[in-house]
Amino acid sequence: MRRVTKHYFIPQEQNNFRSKLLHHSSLIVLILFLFFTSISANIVHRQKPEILGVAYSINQQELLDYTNQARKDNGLEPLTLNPELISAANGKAQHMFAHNYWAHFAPDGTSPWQFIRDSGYRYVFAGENLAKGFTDSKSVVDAWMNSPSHRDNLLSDKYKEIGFSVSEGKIDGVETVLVVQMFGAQDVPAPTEQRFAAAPVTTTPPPAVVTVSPIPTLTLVPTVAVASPTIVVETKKIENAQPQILAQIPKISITPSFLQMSVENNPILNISRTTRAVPIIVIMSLLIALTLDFVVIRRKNIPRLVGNNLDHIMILAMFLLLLLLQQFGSVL
Amino acid sequence: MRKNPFHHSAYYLYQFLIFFLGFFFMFFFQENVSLQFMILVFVLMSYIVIGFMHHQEDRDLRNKIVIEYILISSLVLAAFLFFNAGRI
Repeated sequence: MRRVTKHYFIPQEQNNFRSKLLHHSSLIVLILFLFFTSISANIVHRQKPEILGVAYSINQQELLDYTNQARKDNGLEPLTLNPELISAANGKAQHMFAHNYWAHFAPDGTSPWQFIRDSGYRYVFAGENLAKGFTDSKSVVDAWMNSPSHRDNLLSDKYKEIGFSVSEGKIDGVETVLVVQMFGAQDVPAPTEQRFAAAPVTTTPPPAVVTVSPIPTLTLVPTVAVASPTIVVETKKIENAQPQILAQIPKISITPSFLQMSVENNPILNISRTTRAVPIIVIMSLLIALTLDFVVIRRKNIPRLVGNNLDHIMILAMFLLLLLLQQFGSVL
Repeated sequence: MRKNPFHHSAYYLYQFLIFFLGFFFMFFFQENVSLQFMILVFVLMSYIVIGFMHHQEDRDLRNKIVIEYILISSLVLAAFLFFNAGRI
């Protein structure tokens, strides 16, 4: 074993004073192995994703727990799941898959707030965080926490409620897992009758005005008087309405299965882990062989006709750094 | 006579700059595998050309060295394809 390792990594007489791993024959074998394995992996991944696929497990409860843990760590109140916000988040995720985009605002101009309004949620504040390509709930929340604008949403004391959507689909032809996180706070005071009792019809509370702050914070703040038509209409209804009319406002019912939204995939071989590890090991081995070759040949002062080791070391080291730093998930 | 491996520092500087910028942009555009692939091809071609120029100046550019540079470039490309299997 030791002899083989020396033969492959240290220049000596047996390998013609060039580490065996750096011989043309070894390089060709490595290239062919990587090239044909990647092609085979792609074919198997497409045809048999249950054998070679991306392993992931993301669910709403974990996302809520990690989010509330982050808020608790920062001295904030936990958020509660809201069925309307879940519905809004789900609507947004399906819209992104259906219209093939990855953005807060759809190409047709549909805003995130549209989904919230459509769900029946009457917000004063609302926000949205997106994530795709992650394989577990913790890394999703960690990525949001590492991004200042998403962190601001996650740790905002304006929000009281939250909804998640976790769904699988294709964007730009690539199979991915989308996570939509919708935050909100409603303008309706808790007991409606008390509001009418306490505030006579003549008293006009300030209209619910909202504004959309620019992305990426996507926070609705009541500072600019640009009213959302839906919200204003609803406010007027409340001012003039009798309790009986209020009772007629339809409520969205959410099935229990909808609340337990999660995605999970457990293939026999996890393609993301395998494809990440193999090239890193190959490039690291080559870097070790090149460095040892460089040092030993310099020390022994052996003349050879080979490429410049420093050129090779430089490109392989930078490529290795890229492989180590590259993340597959992204947040928006 | 043994050659100083750090002679022609200008070549190393150019190489370093091209590699650094290339890999920085690859990292920046990590969501777009096709763009990453194009940047990598450009970086590898620069690596081969500057390597050849370097050896040409030393008057030791031989077929064996040409093949070595091409093989290392092909290996980086194959490793990139392997790394992104399932995303392409």
